[in-house]
Amino acid sequence: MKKLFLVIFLFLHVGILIINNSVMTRETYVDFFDQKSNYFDFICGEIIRHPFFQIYGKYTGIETGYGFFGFNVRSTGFVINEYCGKTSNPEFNSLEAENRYGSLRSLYIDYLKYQFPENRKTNQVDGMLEDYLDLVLKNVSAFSMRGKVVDCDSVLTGYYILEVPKLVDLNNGAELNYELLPVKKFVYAIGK
Amino acid sequence: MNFYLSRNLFMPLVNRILDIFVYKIGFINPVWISSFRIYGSLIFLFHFLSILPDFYTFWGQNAIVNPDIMDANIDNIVPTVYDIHQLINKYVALGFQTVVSSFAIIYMISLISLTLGFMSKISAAIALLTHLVLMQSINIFIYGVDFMTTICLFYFLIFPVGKYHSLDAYFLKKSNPDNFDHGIFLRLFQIHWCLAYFFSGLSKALGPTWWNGEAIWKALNSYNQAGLFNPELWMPYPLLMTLMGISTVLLELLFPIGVSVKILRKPWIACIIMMHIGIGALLGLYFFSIVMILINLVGFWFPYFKAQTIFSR
Repeated sequence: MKKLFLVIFLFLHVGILIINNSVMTRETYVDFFDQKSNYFDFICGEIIRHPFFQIYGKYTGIETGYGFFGFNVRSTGFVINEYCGKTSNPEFNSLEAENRYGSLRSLYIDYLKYQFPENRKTNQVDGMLEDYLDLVLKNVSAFSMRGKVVDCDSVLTGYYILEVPKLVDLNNGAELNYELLPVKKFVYAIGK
Repeated sequence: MNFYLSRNLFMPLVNRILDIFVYKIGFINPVWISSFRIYGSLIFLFHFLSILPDFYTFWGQNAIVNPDIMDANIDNIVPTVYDIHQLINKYVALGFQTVVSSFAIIYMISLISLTLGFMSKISAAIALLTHLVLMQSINIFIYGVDFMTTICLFYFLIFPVGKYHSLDAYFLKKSNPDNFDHGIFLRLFQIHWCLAYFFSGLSKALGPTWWNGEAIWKALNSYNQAGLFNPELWMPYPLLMTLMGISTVLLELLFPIGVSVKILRKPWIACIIMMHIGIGALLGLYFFSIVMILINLVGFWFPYFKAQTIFSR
């Protein structure tokens, strides 16, 4: 009986892995190449968002897709604090903390997708998400000010996308100029 | 009736499946499973220790983003430290820092216990749950390695990781199980990572940028704050970046074939390990790379050690 249960579990686990990854790959493909999704896509999406799949995926770790850097590498984003005209980012004691702080970018990359939808007629950002992201930036602003002398009355915290010139353009003689494109800004008034 | 059905209908099928997937692969060196537990838990422990200088910056009451705000962003599938603190405070007054520190200490102790192979199942369950709670509590600051940790801790829980080179095996004097006991889990582990690499390669292959070097160039400029090399150094070598992109796609997409053909297995794993060393050095994702290297070694290299080595006795 132990063998039977093990084989059933093996098939279930692998089955969920295959379904999860196939659907995620298909959804990213449809999204990235701006294709029309069909009814089958809808059904599959509903399946992997079923509470059973969500709970099982969360506790086993298989909720994550493996398309890291797939289709197209995500643009790099930075959360930058400016105080009294100077950059004033939070200081950390470890490289791991910097890596974790850097992962904040994924929160805003999704925002960017909704904010500037390609071939979509309306801005899809709802008010609650907008408020939430502002709140996160406000927290980051306040944190960046800790232990610093208050000389100015506000901190400007913004989320910027790093625009990297394309390799093909560089090969054709273009200059290597990095550009920071502002996506979202928040002014934190100290003391308010 | 059910018992009759399971015995006469399913069991021959189950045995046939096991024949193909487990018994016919011959000798499997159990060193893979003990290495997975020992090195895996040590890596997760060091990964956690590396954030300790900034622990309260992320998990504290006055963290970089307040715990209640991070708690608002998530589903309720796994509770956060904030939720648990709220629950505890209905009965006992305990500080937030005390609760979060307790979770961190329990997590570290469970990992040490796993390394030693002491009450392996219980330790794995505790490590998995505390890890999930800790990561859910800082859900806007998690990245790839955290998901890999969850997967490995889940496998620590279901695999017989305490049966070899562990205090459990020493004290309980358990007889070593046969191939089936760890062979079926090895197959599950291998299938998982074959699928992972295949889907990773497939999504890369479907986009144009991995075939012309643009993806590698963009990736080099992505995480470079912790990388060892300046991305500008790569600029004069576009062909090299194109080759790196194409080989990444092929290595990942054809991974299931590469590791299944005996003659190709070792060179393939060596190439994948080199790829992960590259990711670590160029993109600064050191712990992610270390975990992926360990997964490749324990899943596709160690089980095929020919004889009982000093490590597998």
